This record gives sequence, structure tokens and C-alpha cells, in this order.
Amino acid sequence: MLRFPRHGGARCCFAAVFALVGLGLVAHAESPNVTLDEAFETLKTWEAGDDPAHLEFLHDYVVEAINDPEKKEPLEDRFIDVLENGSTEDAKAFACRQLFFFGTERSAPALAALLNNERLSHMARGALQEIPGATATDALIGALMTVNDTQRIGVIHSLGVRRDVEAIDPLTWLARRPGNDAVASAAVTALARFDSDQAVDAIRGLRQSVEGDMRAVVADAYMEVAERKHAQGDASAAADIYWSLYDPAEPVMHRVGALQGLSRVRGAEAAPVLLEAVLSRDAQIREAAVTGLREAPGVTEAIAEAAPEFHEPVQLQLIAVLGDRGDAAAIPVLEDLIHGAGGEVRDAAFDALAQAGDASVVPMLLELALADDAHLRGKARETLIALAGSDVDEAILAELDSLGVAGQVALLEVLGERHARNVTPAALAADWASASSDRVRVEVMAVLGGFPSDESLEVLSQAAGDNSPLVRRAALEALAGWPDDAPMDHLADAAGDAPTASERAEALRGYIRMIGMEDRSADTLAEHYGRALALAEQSSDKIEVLELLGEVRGEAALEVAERYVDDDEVGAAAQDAVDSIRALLAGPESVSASVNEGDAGNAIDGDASTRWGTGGSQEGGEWFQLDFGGTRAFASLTLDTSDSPNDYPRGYEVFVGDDPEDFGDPVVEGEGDGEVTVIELNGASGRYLRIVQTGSAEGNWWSIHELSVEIE
Amino acid sequence: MRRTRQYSRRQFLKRSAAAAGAAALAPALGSLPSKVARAVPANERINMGFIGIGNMGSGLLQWYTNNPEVQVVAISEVKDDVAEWGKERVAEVYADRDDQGSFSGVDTYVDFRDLLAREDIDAVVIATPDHWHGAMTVLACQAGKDIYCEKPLSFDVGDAHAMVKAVRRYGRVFQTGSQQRSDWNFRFGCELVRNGYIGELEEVRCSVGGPSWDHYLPPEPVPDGVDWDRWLGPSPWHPYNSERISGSYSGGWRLIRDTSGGMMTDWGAHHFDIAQWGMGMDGHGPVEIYPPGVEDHEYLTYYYDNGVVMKKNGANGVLFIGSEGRVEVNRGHIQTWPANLMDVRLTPDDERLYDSSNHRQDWLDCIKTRQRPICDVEIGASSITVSHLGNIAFWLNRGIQWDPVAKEIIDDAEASRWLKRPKREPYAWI
Repeated sequence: MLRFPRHGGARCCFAAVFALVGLGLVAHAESPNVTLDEAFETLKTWEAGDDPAHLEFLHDYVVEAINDPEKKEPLEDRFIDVLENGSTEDAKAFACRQLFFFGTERSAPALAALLNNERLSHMARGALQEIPGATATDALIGALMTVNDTQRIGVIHSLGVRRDVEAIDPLTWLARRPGNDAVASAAVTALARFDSDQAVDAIRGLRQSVEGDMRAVVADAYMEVAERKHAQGDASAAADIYWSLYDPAEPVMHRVGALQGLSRVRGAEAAPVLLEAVLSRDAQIREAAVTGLREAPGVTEAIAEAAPEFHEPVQLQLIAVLGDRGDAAAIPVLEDLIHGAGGEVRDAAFDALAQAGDASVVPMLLELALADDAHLRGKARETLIALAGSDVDEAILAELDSLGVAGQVALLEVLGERHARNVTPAALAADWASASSDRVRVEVMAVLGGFPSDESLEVLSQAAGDNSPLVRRAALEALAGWPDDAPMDHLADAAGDAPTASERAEALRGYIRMIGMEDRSADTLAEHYGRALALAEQSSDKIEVLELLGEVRGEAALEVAERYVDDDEVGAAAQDAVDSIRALLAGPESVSASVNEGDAGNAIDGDASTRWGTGGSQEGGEWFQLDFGGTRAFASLTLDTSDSPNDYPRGYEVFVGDDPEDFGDPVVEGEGDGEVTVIELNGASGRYLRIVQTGSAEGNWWSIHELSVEIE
Repeated sequence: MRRTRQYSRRQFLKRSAAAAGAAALAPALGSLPSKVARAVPANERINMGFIGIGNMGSGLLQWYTNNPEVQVVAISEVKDDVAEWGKERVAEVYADRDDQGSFSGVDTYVDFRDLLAREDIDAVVIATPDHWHGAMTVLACQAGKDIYCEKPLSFDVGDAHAMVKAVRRYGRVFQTGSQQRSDWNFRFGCELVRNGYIGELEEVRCSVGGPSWDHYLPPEPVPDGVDWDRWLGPSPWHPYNSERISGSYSGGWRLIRDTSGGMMTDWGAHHFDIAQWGMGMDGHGPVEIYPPGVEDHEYLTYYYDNGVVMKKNGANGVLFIGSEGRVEVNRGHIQTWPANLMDVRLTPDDERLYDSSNHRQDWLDCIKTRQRPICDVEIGASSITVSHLGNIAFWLNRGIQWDPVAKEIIDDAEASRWLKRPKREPYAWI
């Protein structure tokens, strides 16, 4: 059965009706009933521009038949009849197209008869190309001698795709025949597809005989052969081909291809030639050498050994290649360059070490990270931060106790930058949270803030009551930035009883931030914001809380906001919150959608730059629903898609009612009007309002940037 | 791969040449990273040719024309008026450039092979309809050009394979125009998935469109200044019709089977590409594909050999569903469940994905360093193969099995026919 929707509603009906009647006694819902016989009769006289309904019917039948062996053979006979018996060229082109789906050797003679037809040659050949068996092969080989030069290119191409060995001789002959480079090129390209010594010999022979533009064609074919040899495990044969193509007398792109090939098949053995080639006078060769060195297996040591010997510009490239290779074998030479070179070379070595280095380079980098030279210090720290691997973090931590305070602070900063989650908070806490230096402990707090774990939370919570104001403040900052609301109660308490106003303010900001983190009920939000308002000492903090409170849709929130309306300092903000909450209470309590429900709120957020969208083409059936929490009478509805002008609903139905499972009939239906669609609802009442998109638009989503409802 | 160096291609080349004895090309040291805005001397710019400057091509032309590292020197276009527009546009921009170098105007060509034959052109941008991408890319590689090719990468699986081979054979720098990879949302979302922040990945949903179909359109006169035969190129011949040549995103050639894979490839080149990235399936692919309605599959469904199931539909962009969370990404949209996954900071042990914030600039940078860009040809090929396999399943209305290593459909000769579709002469070059 055909189940997929295509081309809109008419085709769906067409397919569905047909599926009901098996062999097709009845077809299009909007056309007279049609039989398979009638459809084929129509096809025979069909010309582009005529009604295509019967062709679409036949194509649907082809798709059904290819999944039903009993239908294939009689259907193939019908298309053969179209090809052989006086049909229009457009009909024959259609038949060729269908036979491409499923044609067998039985179709080959009828298709072969069209190979000389200027209009249809490529269509027949396309179907013939995929038909297995000698009939198709013989037909194509025979056509080589009868078709014109343009058609011959196509026939040659098809023979190359088929790779029947019988074609090698005629293709070789055509490849050698002078006078038409386009035909000869096609023949050479086709020969390269054959996994055959005979074809390889032919290409090798052509290497000696061809001239001009044909040389590049033959070289390309030869590389195709080399790649196949390599894939089959014969790297030696492949290398021989590449060495012959790397001859200085060869055109540059042959040599480029040869260098790429040598780097793949010879690996470390190719290193000398690649390193020599980076000094070539030819830019293409130099580029190919760099690519080869970057990608060839097993050449790291050779590059590392050679790099210091080159002049600086080449050194820079080779050092970069060493970094990209990410091979630890490069570490010794990179360390030498860092210690022995300067300027760009040293910086490049640092960068490469960041990619290729491991824990073994940590001591060296730690030493440089504390150097007097600011640039050197910066590069070393940058490299430490970039090094991959958890063992690097352990190595850094292991070095900490050998350093003074400045070094400890610096390395803790590095650990923080590394987001070194693998250094356990317990280890940091045990070894360093009680360090004698406040500066170190402050850094420990900052680092622990990046480790959302129970151990970190415990250490930070304790430190929030430390005797040192610096440590207390650092701990509170870390808690305030915690990624979930675990320290929420602790922060609320600190907002009330921390020793200094700045600490209380820091704690309050963290508490306010965490109120909004989880999906809390309106009543719970009102309770938390009410507490935050009571704790706030600064008007600016109260105003911030009132703004957040204004986004809560609930009577409890309204009650909290109303308490502050008469306040001298924040009364205006409280009134704004009251107005906002009342507006929310008048609007929908929630919105939902058939898809992408997480974005549904974007349609009612008052911001036309955000949107809810289906994320896929309009197909019909997508819906968007508003729940007002109680019955409302609706005057009108406006859908604004101005920022996505093609995403308006191609069709819609609007339902209103109190039971979202049983709306009954739509109160209104219609089609979108472009960027802004206004829908009159004429007082229809209910708790829920649902818009169902009923049209289709391939490539266009249904989006709502802003939705507004006028309540009566 | 983290990129920390960018050296001017020509600076490097000239420095190397100087060392080889070409004193006249002695370099100026102290190169700046290419991402630093600066005036680039004319003789250091990348000479660029454009093949196809319609919808997407026009945007690319204007962006690269305004890039100080680039000198646009040639346009190939089968529509005369479009070519003329492009030529004038470039001239307008360059009229304000202080340093013209040897630039003497943009040349236009109807046959792109004439553009490729110019030895002074370093790189080409291919922004033609899909059915031309394969041949143009292969010939550009043979001519030694680096390539930015618009998505979807290819017209069929065979073309994609040929493109990969040619790029590798000639060591070219190739960027697939699936630019979502250079958007933070998508990268971060994929990093969350790749590093297990949503637990074990179980399912992926992608909102892409449907396949292309045959369209039966009436003949119309070929407008003056349009080379219709060359526009059709390797695709089957049809009489001219304005719908066939239209680049409209809601119709035109994109929805026609002879010239495109439809919205399946047009959007699959974006969202399936991101899905492959998040799954760590670059270079690989699904093993079974079922169209909707076959064997109880409600949506087009892909099965991967690691157990992950991917469905077409059901997401705002791409939705990754793991055992412990979800992440959904689209343009301008990223959402995680739980919400605090947005606060994740990658650790040193986490896998970092290629970091590019500008897809077009990334290609320029890689032309200079000879590194592979963020959406290298092999990535583009494996991503678009997902779309092609979906189309084949749709078109034949049956499930297919795919060998992602051998890149073959298993035990289905009829389905395999669609991997490499016939090409019309004389354009049957690959």
C-alpha cells in the first residue's frame, strides 16, 4: 500500500483510492474512474504539458509493483509496448524512467533501439545501464559504433559503470583513437573503473602515447588504478604508479596527486620526499607536501627530527603539523624548541605542545608558568590549560605543595580554567581548604565552585562561615554561582545573618537566582519572592525581585506585590508587578502544542523576535492550544508571523471548549493571510482555545511569533 | 582539532620559495592571524572564482567579495543577466579598494571549465543546483582548486563518493556548505551528547522535509540569455520550464527528482548532518532505513549499528534523547532537559569538537594552513548519504539495509540503482 503523502492532498487521495482497488479499476477521486489499460492508452499519446494525472497514477503503480513480484512482469510488458509501438517521445521518456526502477533483460532490446534517438538516447541508456545480463552489454557495445560522438560519450560512461569485461577492448580502441578528445577521455575514465589487468595495461600504454590535455586524463585514471591497488593491499604496485607520476617532467597536478598517494601508501618511507617537497619552487607541490605530512601515517619522528633544521617559515608550518598530528612522539623536539628558540617558533612550539603534549610535560610547563617573562609565563599557562587528559590535572595537583603561595594561586587558577572536574573536590578540600594562606584558600573556593559535588558543597558551606572575610566572600560567590538550587536555603539564611552587608547582598542575589531555577508552582514562587523581598536591604534588589514577581501568574503573587504598592521607594515597581500579574491572570494559564512544546511560550511572550514553530514543513494536523484556566468569551485571535513571512498557516480550524479531548466542531476555519492572520471568533466561549493547522507547505514551517487574543 | 595558528598561504609559500633560492620572493615576517581584520596586500589575496551565483551563490559572492583576504576574479553562470549582476556588484565593491593590485575586473564564463582552466585562480565556490556539484567538484580538484561547495553535497551517493576521492587524490581543501556546524548552539549540543551528559544516546529526531518527486511541467520558451542545456547538464533532458530553473525555497528545482533530493537533502544536509555529528558518525552511517508505513514505522526511521534510532520528524531542529536527559538544537534555539545542562563546562577529558564560528572564514583559514575545514568533504558525504538513503527508501517504499563501510546497499539491486543515477551526455564526466 502507498502510504506516504506527496504533492498535497490530491495525490494522497489518488494513492489511497487506488490502494483500495488493487489492480486499479478506479483511480483519481477528482477524475473519471481509470483503469490500468486506460492509463497506458493515455500515456501513449501524452506530451509534456498534458494533464499528468494518469502518469502519476502509473508511477504510483510502479512503486507498488516493485514490491509485488507478481505485478512486475506484466507491467514491464506494458512499458515495453510503449517503447515499441508508436508512442510519443515524451511517453517513451516516461517509460524509460519507470524501467530504471525495475527493468530486466526483457526490456533491453526495446531500450537499445532508442540509443540512436537524439532525444531519448540518454533516457534509454539510463535504464539499460542498470539492467544485468549480456543483452544490455551487447546492446551498449554495439551502439558504440552507431551513435554520434555525443551519444557515444554517454554509452562509454554506462559501460564504465557496468564494468563488463567485454567492453575493455572497444573502450581501449576508443581511448587510443585520435581526433576526439572528449570521446577518448570518456573511454580512459571508463577503463579506470575496471578491476582488470587488461584495463591497467591499456592505461599504462596510453601514458606513453597521449599528449596535450589527454595526459591529465590518463594520469587521473592511473591514480584511480593506484588507489584500487592500495585498497586491495598492494601498496607496492600503488607506490610504483605514484613514483612514475612524481617525475619532475610530469605536469604539476600529476605530481601533487602522486605526493598525496605516496604519503598514504608509503607512510614513513615517504617522509624524505615530502620534507624535500616543502621547499619546492611550485606552490601546489609545497601545499601537497604539507597536507601529506599532516596526514601520512608514521612520519611524526621524521618531521620532528627535520623541523629544527629548516629555516623559520618552514619550521612554523612543520611545528603546526606536529601539533595537528597530536602525536606524543613530537614532545621532545617541541620541548627543545620551547627552551632553545624564541619568537614565533617558540610560540608555535607551545601551541603544538598543547595539542600533542601529555602529563609528562607538566613539570616543565609549571616551571615556565612561574617565569619572570610575562609572555613566556602566559604561553606556558595557556598550554597547561589546553593540555588534554585527566592525568594532567593530577600532575598539576601533585606539584602544588612544592610551590610558594604565588605559584599555588597561579596553578589553582589554571585548574579552574581547565574545568578540571577530574581533580576530586575531596582532594582539594583536604589538602588546600585549610591552607595557611587566605589567597590560596580563596582560589580553592573559586575552583571548587566549578565542581558541583556534595564534597564541594560541604566545604563551601563551611567556608561561608570562615573567620576570614576574603574566604567567606569567595565561598558565598561560589555558592551563589552554583549550577543548581542545592545551596538555596543556605544562601537565604546567609542573606539574613552574614556579618557584612556585601556578603548578605551576595547571598541574596544567589538566592534570587535559584528561585527561578526549578519548575515551581506559582504559590511557591510567591512565597520565595516574598521572603527575598523581606531579606532585601537595597531598593535595587527589591525592585529586581518585584520584576520577577510580576511574571508569576497567581493570586498569592498578586497579594505579595500589593503589600509594597505604598512603599515610598519601590511602590512604582510593585504597582508594575501588580499590573503585570493581573494581565497574566486575564491571559492563558498555559500553552501547549503538538510539537516543540518547550517553545510554545515564545508565542505569547510579547517578543516578536522569538517564536514557536513546527520545526518541519506544514503537513496538516499541527496544533497550538491555550488554556485560560477558566471560561472566557473570545472576540478575535491574531497570529503574527512577520519575522518568518512564509510560515503563516496555509489553512486553519479554531476550536473553543471546556474539554480539550472533545472540542466538537471548529468555530471557524479558513486560510492564513500572510504575515498577520486575524481570525474573528465572535464571542465563542470556553476554557480552551486550540488552533489546528490544516494546510500543507513543503519547506515552510508553521510559526507563531506572537499570538494575541481579544477577550469580550 | 583546535586551531591556534593561521599563516597566510602566500606568506608561507613565499617564505618557502625564498628559502629555495627565489630571493625576489623574500618574505616579510611577522604574519598576523588571518582572523585579525587587516588590509591584505593584493598579491597575498586568494584569487577566487564563482560557479553559480543564484540564491545562495549571490550571498556567498557578496561575502567573499567584501573579505579583504579574497580577490574575486571570475564568475561562471548560465544566466547572462545574473552573471552581469555579479560582475557589476564585485566592481562596485572593489572600486573602493585602495590596493587594486593587478586586478582588472571580473571575467564571466558560461562554461565553468573555462574558469577552471585559469591558472591564476586558487579557489572556487560552487553554488549551482545539486545535480552539478559532483562533476564541478571533481573537475575543480583536477584543476588544483580549493573548493567551497554549497549543500547538499551531492545529487546522489555515487557523486559524493567521487567527490571524496577527487579531493583526497589532489589534496584539495574542501568545505561543505552545511554551516550549522559553525554555530555554537549545534557544537555545544553535540558536545553534550558526545560526552555523555545526557546519558547513553538512545534516539535522535530530526525535522527535515520530504523527498523530491517527478514533476510534469509544460514546455515554455527558453528566455534569451539562458543556456538551458548547460543548466540541465548531466540531468535528464526536459523542455524548459521556469519552475524547473527556479531557485525558490518552496518550489523550483529543489523539489524535482531530476535535479535534487528535495527537502530531504536540502534540510538533511543541515539537520542529519548535526545528528551525525552528535552521534559521532562522521564517515559512517545507518545500517537500516525504513520509510513511514513500512513494518510499522510511523516516520522515516534509521537504525545505527550502535543501537541508536533516528526518526525524521518530532523535533525543533534536532532532538537528542539520552538515558538521562535530552538536548534539542536549531538555529537560534538550544534547550536541554534538565535545564542545567546548559551550564556544563567541558572538562579536560571531554571530547572537544572542531570550533569554528564562521563557516566561510574557516575555509579561507584552512586554504592557508592546508588543514581540513570543519565540514570537510568526507563529512559532507556521509551526512548527505543519510538523506539519499532516506529518499531511496521513500521512492521505493521499502526498507533497505546499508553497509556504511563498503557504502553499498545490501541485497537489493533495484535500490542500488539509485546510488549512482544515470548521467546525460556529453556531461557524463564522473
